[in-house]
Amino acid sequence: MPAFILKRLLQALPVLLIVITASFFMVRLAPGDPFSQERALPVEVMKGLRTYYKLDQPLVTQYIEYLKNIAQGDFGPSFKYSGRTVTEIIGAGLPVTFELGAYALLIALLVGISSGVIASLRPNTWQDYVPMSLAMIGICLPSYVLGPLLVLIVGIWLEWLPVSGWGYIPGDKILPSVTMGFVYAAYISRLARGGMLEILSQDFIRTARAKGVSESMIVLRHALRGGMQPVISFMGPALAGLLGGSFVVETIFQIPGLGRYYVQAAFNRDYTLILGMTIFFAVLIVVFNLLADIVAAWMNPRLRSGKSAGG
Amino acid sequence: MSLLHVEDLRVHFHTRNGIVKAVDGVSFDLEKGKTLGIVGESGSGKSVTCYSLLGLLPTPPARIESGSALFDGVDLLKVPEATLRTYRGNRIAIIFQDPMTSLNPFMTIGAQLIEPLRIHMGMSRRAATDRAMAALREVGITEPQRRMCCYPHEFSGGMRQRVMIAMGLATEPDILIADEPTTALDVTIEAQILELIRKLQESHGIAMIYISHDLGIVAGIADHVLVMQNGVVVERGAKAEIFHRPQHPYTRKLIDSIPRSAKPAGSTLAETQGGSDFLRIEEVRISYPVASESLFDLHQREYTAVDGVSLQLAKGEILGLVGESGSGKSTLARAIVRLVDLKAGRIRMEEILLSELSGQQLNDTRPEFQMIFQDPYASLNPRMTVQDCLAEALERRGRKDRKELQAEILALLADVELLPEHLRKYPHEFSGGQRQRIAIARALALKPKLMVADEPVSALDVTVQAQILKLLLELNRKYRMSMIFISHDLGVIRYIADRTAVLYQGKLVECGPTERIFNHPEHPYTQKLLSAVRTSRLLEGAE
Repeated sequence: MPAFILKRLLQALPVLLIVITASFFMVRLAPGDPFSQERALPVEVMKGLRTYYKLDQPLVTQYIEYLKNIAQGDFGPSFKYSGRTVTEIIGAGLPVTFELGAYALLIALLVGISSGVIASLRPNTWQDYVPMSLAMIGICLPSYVLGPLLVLIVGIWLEWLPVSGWGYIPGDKILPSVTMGFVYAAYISRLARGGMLEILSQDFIRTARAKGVSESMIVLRHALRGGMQPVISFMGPALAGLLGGSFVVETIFQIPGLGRYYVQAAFNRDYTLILGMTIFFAVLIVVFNLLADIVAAWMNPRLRSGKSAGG
Repeated sequence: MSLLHVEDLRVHFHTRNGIVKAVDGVSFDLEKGKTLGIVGESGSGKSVTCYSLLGLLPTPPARIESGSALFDGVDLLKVPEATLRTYRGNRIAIIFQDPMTSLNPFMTIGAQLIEPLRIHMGMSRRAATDRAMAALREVGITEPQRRMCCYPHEFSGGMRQRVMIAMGLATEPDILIADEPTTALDVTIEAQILELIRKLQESHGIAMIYISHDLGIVAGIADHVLVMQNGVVVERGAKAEIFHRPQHPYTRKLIDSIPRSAKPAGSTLAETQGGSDFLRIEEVRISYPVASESLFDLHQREYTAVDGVSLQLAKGEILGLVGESGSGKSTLARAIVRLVDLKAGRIRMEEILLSELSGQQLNDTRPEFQMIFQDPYASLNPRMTVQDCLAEALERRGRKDRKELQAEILALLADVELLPEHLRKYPHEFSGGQRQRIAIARALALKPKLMVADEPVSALDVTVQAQILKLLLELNRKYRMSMIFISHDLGVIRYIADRTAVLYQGKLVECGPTERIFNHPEHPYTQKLLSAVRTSRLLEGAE
């Protein structure tokens, strides 16, 4: 297992390098620079700024310089938020985004797995159709539609919950978490149903039944572990998405997390901040996918022992 | 007073395409300590009969329409599910056909073994563990302490079936239902498992229902035999009676279909016995890389599937290739048709060095050697009609106009005894035997000089199997096609092959004229193989 982890981490390095290189040059292709404003700055000031941030040097030199810096863990200063480094800004937004992601994940897992399992036990009945139709809606409905819709209905018409902020008023964390979690709950629900249906049709479930095991124990002890394999494989991308994909929800609900900084950085052409966050998210995705694979392997005895089934 | 009394059992499947009467009025008695054999081909209702006793059928679509099954004063068909559950795995245990899929891959052997003991006998974890280990020892599994912590994938098929038996017997049931428990196993393992079942049944005094498609096995193990066809019992009686004096035409057909005699005299086509070199396989070695276990393990491990095998095949000859799973017979077959690459050695067909061909050359030569695969359900494209499938193969030999193509397709259909109206149909609309005919027609379409058939009849029922074997023999004669015929079934090989080669763990252990191999096997492994078949089956002339 340690060899497997090491192998995967080594494989991640070229992926990260490609991400860094592609985003470095793409950001520079965008017209304008961090200092272009509606009212142009005096030429000497611009020149001074560009020299200070070494933007006047050839692009390749800057690229190599940048690689050297991040190799030492230095993401550089933000161009827009003067006096703050990229690392500081990520550090400030991270806890908020993590908290939001954790709540959303919790909702997604609870709602998704339970509805999926229930649907799989009674296929092609209303207990199956209702959650699966909801899941279909959840998958089709983007969060920038669902968010405002929830704000309108629950926040403004019914006045049950606050519609923006994070930790200012009690209950203001509910709507953003639900908005974020719903799509993932929908995916997980469908995956859980599919996985369970697959496992429940296996011969060893019939064996369990023939042993006199009760239906509830068949689900809990015999089927759940195998049936959750697709859900676990999805957890990697899901976690990365929950943590890195919160731009929309954070913007809708005015939450001071990473996502909102990311969006603003893009508007501001804040080169170092965009790059820093992109790399950060890339690392997150790699790490979470690896974690998901490790958990999946651990849950599956066949993979755990590292032996493949001989043909 | 019988232990189990089943009367007029009717189980129907209510499907979208109408009602299928899977079991239609079956009655039987099972005496204490005796074995009842149920024989039938697929779809005869033999498994459905037993599953319905334990409530193991999916409902819907299955529905028990009528009947009763009295066991210990209780009608198993009428009691609520919760009550039935207290019988399952407790007083009535069942062993299934495929030990590879019947154990839960996510749970240890131990956890699965102690489950019924904990549920039915209320044993503590410790007591159940002790009992389970004793059960493992009884079925011949050594070091039970260590094995309890293993997962099923660490066990071979035979070992898993032993675990299933241990699981069934641990609770000391009154009845053991064995549903084709040896069908998925190699013959030598089959003999061991049958012997084990027989021994345990005797020592525990259990009544058994033994289900099989193999009349020979059932006749060898059962006291009484039921022969089922299309959900109905067509014949019943004591075992020797049924085997030696069958009354019903279907039973007679079943017995006649068992391939066990030598092929009809004069049917051999080989111009020279053994010597000729239409196909020469020289010192072939094939190996697969095996995943290395550590990152720093720089030596790529290899598993050698075929190890230095040399064989010759004459024009028009049928060479039988026998071996158990893992013997390398399928790998060798795949290498001959160039689906697998050789590590060493050469394969030469007439003047062509098959093993050296590549790219376009290989592609141009492919029509010369064709393969028929084992599973006719998986090897035909489900989205192509028979017409498309055959036309594609025919056009491989050059484009031709419609009329000519159609004429050739019809000729092919006639060769494999299919009808013109079958052309528009898709594979799923055919039975297993018909599908294998389609697969044969597809291979024939290319007019190959060499046909490699990898277990072409092992997925088929015996009566269908006999038809397909006959067809292959006829085609071999008609087209003077050389054939390599792979099978684990010695009876089939004896029926069809001119010469037989026996493979064991990737090595050729014996090769010679079929009758010589069967009557005077020289290698100990061949002897073991043959004696395994004889002990597990009641064959003609025995008893």
